[in-house]
Amino acid sequence: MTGSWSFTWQDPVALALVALALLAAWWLRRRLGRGSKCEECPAKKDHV
Amino acid sequence: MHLTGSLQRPVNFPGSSVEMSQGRVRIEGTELTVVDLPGLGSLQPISPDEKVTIAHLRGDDGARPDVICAVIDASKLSVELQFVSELTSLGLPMIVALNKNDVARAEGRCVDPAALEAEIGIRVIETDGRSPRGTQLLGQCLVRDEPACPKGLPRDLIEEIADRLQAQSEPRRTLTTRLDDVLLQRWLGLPILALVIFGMFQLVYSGADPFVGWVEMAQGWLSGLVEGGVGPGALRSFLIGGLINGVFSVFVFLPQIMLLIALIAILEGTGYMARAAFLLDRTLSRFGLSGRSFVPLASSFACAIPGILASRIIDNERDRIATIVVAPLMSCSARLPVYVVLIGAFFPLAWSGLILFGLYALGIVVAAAVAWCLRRTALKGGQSTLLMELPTYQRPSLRVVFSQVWIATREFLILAGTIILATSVVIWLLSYYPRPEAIHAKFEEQRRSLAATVLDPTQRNRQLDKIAAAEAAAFSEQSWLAHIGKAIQPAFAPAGFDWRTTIGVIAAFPAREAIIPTYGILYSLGDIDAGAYDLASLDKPVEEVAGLRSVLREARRMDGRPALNPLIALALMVFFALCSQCVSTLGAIRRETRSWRWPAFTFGYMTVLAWVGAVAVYQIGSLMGYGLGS
Repeated sequence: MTGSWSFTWQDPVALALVALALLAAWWLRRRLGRGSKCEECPAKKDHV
Repeated sequence: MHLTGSLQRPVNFPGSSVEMSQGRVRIEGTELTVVDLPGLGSLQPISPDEKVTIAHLRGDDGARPDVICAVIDASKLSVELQFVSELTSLGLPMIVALNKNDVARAEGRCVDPAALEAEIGIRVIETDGRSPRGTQLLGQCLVRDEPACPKGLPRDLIEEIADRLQAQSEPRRTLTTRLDDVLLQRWLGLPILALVIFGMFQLVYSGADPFVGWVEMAQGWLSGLVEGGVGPGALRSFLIGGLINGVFSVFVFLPQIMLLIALIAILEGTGYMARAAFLLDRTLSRFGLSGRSFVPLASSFACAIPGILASRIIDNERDRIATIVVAPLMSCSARLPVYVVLIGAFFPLAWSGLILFGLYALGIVVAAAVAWCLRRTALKGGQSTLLMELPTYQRPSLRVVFSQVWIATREFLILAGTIILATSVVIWLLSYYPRPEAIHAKFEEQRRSLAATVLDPTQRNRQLDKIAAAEAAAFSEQSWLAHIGKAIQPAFAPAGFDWRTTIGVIAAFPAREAIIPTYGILYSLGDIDAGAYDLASLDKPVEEVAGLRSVLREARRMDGRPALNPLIALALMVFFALCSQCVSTLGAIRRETRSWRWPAFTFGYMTVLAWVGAVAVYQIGSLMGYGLGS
């Protein structure tokens, strides 16, 4: 596409934050998604 | 709910509970497992939810209950005792919870629990579904008294018993009958229903509108704070574009969602929803559905998943599948943010309620048409008739309304903190990179020439801002996301969508709300046409735009035409009203139909309909002169 990229010290910090945010979202989904996602809504009730 | 302290969804119409759910409670040292079963009218099951109850009572699933607690409605004593009589044939210990005695009292037919107990030979505890009253005593009876197996209750004596217990005074003309005279009146019923629904949407929009402005202000303040602390670059762009604009922009809609859920819970709680089913039965039957379909369809206005599960109350399998397949067409609360942003940006406030009402009505009309087609083709067959008990009108329980609002809020926050956060971050990454040195060098050169020629600091700063915006737009236009968007955009060009809107639509497939942060990110990275960037225009002040709605109004395409206008906004809202953009809903359809055929069909027909709808709106509007022109 083009030759060299313009990078500053902010780029690695931003990329690290991107990875951190994705990890946090994945962890939150695992952690909260199980107990919630409508435990009251019949889809995820404590089935007998 | 009161016995176990867990959040359930008690509403004032039959068919709200379609699946077993259980909770555990410790009473006086004894742990009880309380199983809530879908309601029954007899031991001969018709619909799938009734089959679940009978199977559990008979122990077909391997766990027969130790005690049955029959919750009966005191205002319909003779009918309810007929069923209690049937239950005694199961040979299980039983206790009776006498509910709605306040309603019977208002009708002048209050039941004395002690007298009822003496007549039927089964322990009777008076309870109130809206409050914890009687719950403690019920729990104590379950652990202390060890309920016995009742002797048979002769069915021919039931009328006599009910008459003896309730005939003390003449039945009064109750509030329910007086209200039903008006609300179910042949000519008034449907217009009143339409007014109630329209009023609900107007209230959802206007009631929460001031809050939207405050949140946008707070968002602007936070962005300003980051701008002040972090210099231009990837970190600042990520914090403002990826995080603040991304996730924050969806929080703006929390008040609307909370208000919508509260209003639906109030309508359910009063008993008006059951009347709506009754009123719409004839209309629905014309399209091959039954009045019973109204309950799942109405639930789908909050979220399609409980709506799809509620379809279990429909005994006719073809009716049930037709209802499941059209339920996602009901505009759920996830579509609300998209409607609110676009209506707020492109239409006057006075029209907002009407447009919102129109979009909800569009979902209903298309659902009826799809159901009509299905019942005459793939799901051809006999129709069921509506046999539904109209509940007594009652004051909705605040606890239930609050619990519904809390559940929706928690769900929304979890969605925002997980899927929407992840989508925002990925969209930012794809829209920010790559960063070619050549573009940076070109704008650096312009900055240097500006510093040399313009001496007035105010004018220079203003022009530097314009160069920065043009640079951001130039980077954005050659980003990975732009390449993806421009590759897909021809498919959406007939609907008037540019590449940014196309990316928004694609990003919204896992969850509808994701289009809002996508817009927030894409437009925060530059909404000025880099190609038309011209030093001569630098004297004009940069548009002071705050909030996504203003940004969307100001956004331009590469050729200088607006990125969106009222017609494209309408086409986009029609697309969202008709499109299947929720993975969880498709999962629920798979589960309820036990086949991949129906979720695949639902996804396919809704996506095609959405595209056709959006294209039709844009093309017809363009012919009428509302398009962008060429």
